[in-house]
Amino acid sequence: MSDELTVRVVEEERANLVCYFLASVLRRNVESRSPVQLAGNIESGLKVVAGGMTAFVYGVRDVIEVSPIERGATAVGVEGELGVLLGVLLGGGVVIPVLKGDIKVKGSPLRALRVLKLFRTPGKRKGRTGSYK
Amino acid sequence: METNELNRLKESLIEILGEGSVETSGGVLLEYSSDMTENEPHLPEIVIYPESTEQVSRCLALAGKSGVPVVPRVYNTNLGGLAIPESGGILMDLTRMNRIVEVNPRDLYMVIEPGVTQADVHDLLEKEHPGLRFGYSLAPPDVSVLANCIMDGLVNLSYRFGAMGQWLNGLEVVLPDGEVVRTGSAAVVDSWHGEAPLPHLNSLFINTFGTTGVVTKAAVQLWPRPQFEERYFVLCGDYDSAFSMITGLIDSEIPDDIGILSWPIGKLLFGNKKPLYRDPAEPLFFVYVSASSDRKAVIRDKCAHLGEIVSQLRGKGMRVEPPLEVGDLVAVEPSFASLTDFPMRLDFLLEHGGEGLTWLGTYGPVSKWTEGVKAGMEFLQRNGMPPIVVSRPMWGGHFIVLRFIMMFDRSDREEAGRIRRLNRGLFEKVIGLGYIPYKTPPWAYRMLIDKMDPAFVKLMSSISRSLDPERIMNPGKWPI
Repeated sequence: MSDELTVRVVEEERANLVCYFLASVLRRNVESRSPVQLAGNIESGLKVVAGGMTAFVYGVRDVIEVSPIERGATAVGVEGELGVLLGVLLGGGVVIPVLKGDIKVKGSPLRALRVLKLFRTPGKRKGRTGSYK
Repeated sequence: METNELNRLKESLIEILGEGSVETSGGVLLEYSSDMTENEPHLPEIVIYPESTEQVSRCLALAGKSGVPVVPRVYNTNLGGLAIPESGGILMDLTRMNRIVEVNPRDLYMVIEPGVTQADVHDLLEKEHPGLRFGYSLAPPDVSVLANCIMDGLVNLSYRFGAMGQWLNGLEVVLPDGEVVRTGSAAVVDSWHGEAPLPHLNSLFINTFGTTGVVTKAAVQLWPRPQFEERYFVLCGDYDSAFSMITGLIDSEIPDDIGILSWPIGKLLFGNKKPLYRDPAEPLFFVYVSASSDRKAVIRDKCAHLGEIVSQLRGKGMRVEPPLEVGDLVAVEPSFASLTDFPMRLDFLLEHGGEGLTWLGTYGPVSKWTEGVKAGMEFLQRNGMPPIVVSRPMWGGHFIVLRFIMMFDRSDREEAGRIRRLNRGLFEKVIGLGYIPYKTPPWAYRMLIDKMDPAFVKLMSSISRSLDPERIMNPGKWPI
């Protein structure tokens, strides 16, 4: 991994909103965090299912790819409602939604927590999204 | 026009307006020959830039005597080809008449000239009248407020306060013979506070597209600005869920505004230039809801009520996501601010490379929304176009707007022809459900006339003839 890291949506013609949301936050995080740390944590692949939409995230050399289509194995999977995912992206806590079962984890929970933290929006804003049930 | 005749007219216009306000150079004429739409361009013969009602009056009197067509235009952002000079003649550019003549905060109105833009109004209210609010259309900041009013357009407060024709207290109009007339209270007293109890003659100049006169001033309503506002997106997975959400909101009296955006708009915001694929799990519609109040407790109650509506629909198995706060969504993806900051920046619609933008915008019954929106979206998709729809219930839910938007490459004549056919196809799809085009393009008006009650056409025709006997005003745009 080099210090130059780009984030791109692949298979874009089939990309869904979750792919775009994840890519958007990652792009901004690339600017504000250590790219090496970011890519290293995603290298083993992540599957996110939110509101029924699926996105796969892979760190491939100098690129983080977000894809609507599975392109390889994923070590960690997380699943929840779109609002819950957005709550995480906004900087909301990760541990409680996982413990409450609002976010279901496949694979190592510790690894999932570490990976999810990478998707927090820089300059986080904790709103009420996801709190209306 | 013969060259001699044109030269004589030009000289007379220079006498009225001055040398710098009359243009006949090829480059300028070309600039005024077209708009963003697929409608065929036509060159004007002269472009003029009046700066006062008196100048407009003298120019119209002159044109009337000479029988020369006059097309009034401001920023040319309508999507119906309504300021294309089909019969040549004089193109009257009103952008230099750009004064906010008066703001009356107690009687809740402002008097504006045609060149006043959404940005002008927004900036003035923010700076000098923070206790007042105005509505802004689905258009960039630099478009004419007055033009949107007299074309009965809509704004982000139209759910509560109706289409923009309803916001007009009165007008100053130069009739085709040059006479200046006022409608509303200002025809009687020195105040523009309303149209009632006088005959509602504003209507003679609303939705007539400059064919009955040139509106030089409009008194437009302003509204008190509540202290608190909350805004949400509710994502709906299918047509029935979206319809239930919309009608649930209408019945609740929660919102100031309800906007319904189809799925491609979300992807356009992320930079996908031509979204054609929708993941089956993806929301079909983004339903935007804003609510306001001067009391925090009321806002809290409205938000809780919104949550209850969503929960009830989810309980019935509807595909409705819990509300997402707009500020949160914008924090995750800043481009969503394009949809929620008024006046809007519409880069995602305007900057797609091909420069062509067109629509079929209609007003119709809420009860037929599902059939109408489905028919239009499926038609667009079958024809290889992203099914871009922007919809909004109006006037407390008494009717609803359905707008199908298409982006295209203006330089490609074949594509422009295809877009023309698609717009006509959309018209046929929705007219039978009661959806009538507004800001009506001439081609749509011609199709509409066949469906109109002949007595209604006769009445419109006699109004048009009595106001414009020489038929000089914006020929072809009210083709009765």
